[in-house]
Amino acid sequence: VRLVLDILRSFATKLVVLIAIFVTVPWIVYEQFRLADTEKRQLLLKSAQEQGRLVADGLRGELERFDPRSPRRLAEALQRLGGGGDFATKILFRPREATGSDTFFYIAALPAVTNEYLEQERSELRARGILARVRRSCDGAGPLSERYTNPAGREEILTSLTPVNTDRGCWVVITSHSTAAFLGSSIGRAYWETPEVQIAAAIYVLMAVFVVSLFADAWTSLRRFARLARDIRATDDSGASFASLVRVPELSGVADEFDRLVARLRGSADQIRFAAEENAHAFKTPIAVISQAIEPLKRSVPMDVERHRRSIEMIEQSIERLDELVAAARRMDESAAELLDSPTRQVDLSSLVARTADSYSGTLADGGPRIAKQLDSGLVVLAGEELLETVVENLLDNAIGFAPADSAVALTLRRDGGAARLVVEDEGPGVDPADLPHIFERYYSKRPAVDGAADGSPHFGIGLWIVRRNIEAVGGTIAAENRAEGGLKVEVRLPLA
Amino acid sequence: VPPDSGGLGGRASVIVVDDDALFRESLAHNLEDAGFAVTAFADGPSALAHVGAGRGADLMLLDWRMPAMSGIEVLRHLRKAEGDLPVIFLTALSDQVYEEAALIGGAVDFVDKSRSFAILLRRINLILGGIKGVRAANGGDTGSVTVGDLVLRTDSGRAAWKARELPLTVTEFEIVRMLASRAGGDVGYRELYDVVHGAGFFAGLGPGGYRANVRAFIKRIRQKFREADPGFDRIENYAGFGYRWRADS
Repeated sequence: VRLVLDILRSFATKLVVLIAIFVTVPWIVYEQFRLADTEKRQLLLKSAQEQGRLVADGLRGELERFDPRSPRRLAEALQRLGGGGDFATKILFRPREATGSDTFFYIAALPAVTNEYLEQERSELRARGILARVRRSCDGAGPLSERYTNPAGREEILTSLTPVNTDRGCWVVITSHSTAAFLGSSIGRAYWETPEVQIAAAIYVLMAVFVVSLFADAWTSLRRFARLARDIRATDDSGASFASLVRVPELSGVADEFDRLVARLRGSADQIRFAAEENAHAFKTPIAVISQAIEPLKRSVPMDVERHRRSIEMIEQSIERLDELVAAARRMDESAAELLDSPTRQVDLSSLVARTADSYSGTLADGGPRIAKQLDSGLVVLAGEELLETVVENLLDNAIGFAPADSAVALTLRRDGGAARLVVEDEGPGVDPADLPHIFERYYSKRPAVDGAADGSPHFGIGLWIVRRNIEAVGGTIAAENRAEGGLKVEVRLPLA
Repeated sequence: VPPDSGGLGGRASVIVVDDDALFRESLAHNLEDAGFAVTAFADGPSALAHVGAGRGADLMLLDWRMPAMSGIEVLRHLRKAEGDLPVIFLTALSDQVYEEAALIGGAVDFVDKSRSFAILLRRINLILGGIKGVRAANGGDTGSVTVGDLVLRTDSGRAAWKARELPLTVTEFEIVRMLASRAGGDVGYRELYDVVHGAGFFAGLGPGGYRANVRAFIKRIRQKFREADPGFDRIENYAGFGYRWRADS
């Protein structure tokens, strides 16, 4: 559920959804508008057709009486009927005995035009196949929606053709419009070709580009923030600031706050480090005086008096302890500072583990346990090199310490998703299940006290505790379990850089 | 028995520079009791004036943090004057950056001020002993030990790996010398620890604490070798026992 919510909230998802919306919306809206436009166009065409029919009806008598010797009469009748309209009318005639599709003659036109003009127009209409349709329409009226450019170079739309059949042949009354109302409509062309759709589309695309780029900008700014935040955590002084990287002005306030926050964290860390060194210095100076001042006493106190000798011893031991305590307090302060501002680097874990394991080759030669390593190469983590070296050494020391002489200690380093998985397995006795939860605790040691260690000293029980402390300091986890085959398995997971 | 200096024929002379009056006094007395001729100064300029006036010494114990002039500046002036007076930094500053700066600047050792006088005396004798050895041999080659690519100049406490100088403290130098002199053989934690603190010494962390201590030393030594030679792998772990210097095969 968490993952799903994260995906839903993520900027990238929203960006994808936004783009999807920007792509879909036009189709839906366009379809709606196109349907509305179709109705409007049909109404327009219908009225044009009505006009054509009225003209044709009005002319019917004149056409039936038509005498080729006096064509003026028809022209005058046309003038009477169609004059004052906002459309042009043309009358074509096809004699009954004519064959072929284009045997149409222009008989009259309103407004009047020259013969040459008519001839040009006729051939244009024929070329566009309109005359063929006119011929078919001798059998019935129909709307026409054909844009063409007339010989005068103006755009016109043929809006209707109405046939009138007489004894002599077929007459066709064609109306055409060239007013803005018709030219601006979608008649005779696709809806998207109309200027209003194109302007709307241009505005829409502009808006979409703007909004998407706004989103993308914010997104890249956030990603830069994230990357920078990681870089700032990874190195102690990269010198980079959030403010210098942000491109969206509204984010610059946030960036400044972030920079101030980082500066304050670093300042606190430096303050703590400084105070740690100062305090240690201040405390150590009197300790130094005491440890020097005790020297003459040591020589002047008769050493055969047991109590005197013991007193000196106790003072010396206490000074030593005090000195250790001062050093320990300093280390703790420093680790507190490192929590705030850890000087981590990119460490090639693979080569570090290999190098550390190789430094154990002496153990191998002496018939001790072997180290069998299987290491993925190129695994890089953010940590301190020394800190990780201690981890590997302590884990190996622990495993080798428990492993029988002729056995193998398996050292495995694998990439596991976004983490590096380091596993150390031995064939030793393992750990009592009741003790398993405690093996990473301080002063825990279940090693045979004296005779087990090669140099005859007891184990101190801090090795695995240090391992866990170091691993947790760099954001890793550690776990131990007994192997089914016997022996202990310790698994460390570190996030990859 | 007062140690004698090869140069002066009499007692070895030590210059102490420290701004803390109590420490200066107690240390000077202890050194005198141990047979040294001691001249103490509260600040760097007066000590430099003393050395500059031709009144040399066999050794200088130098504090780091002092008013007027810090110890590292005093050392810089000394080295500029081309004197070869060995300098041991004796300071309460413990960060590794100070140690490295001191050793690179030409100091022979870096000792924690709060350590016991016995430890300090041991370091002083190691250094003066090395110098004495060479002076006795009149500049001969007895002052240098070579193990493969490793050259240890016991006269000056300087070590070089593949002809590159290593900034080792006297203790680190002694650890390397012990490992290298027994190349191919194992050296236990305890033995190495005795090099650090002198036999029989126990740290405040209790029995076993010295392992961590020795490990920290080995880690630092390896680090210093690796800074000179990233492929350095001569110091091997012997799990549960100690370390060894891998011999040339």
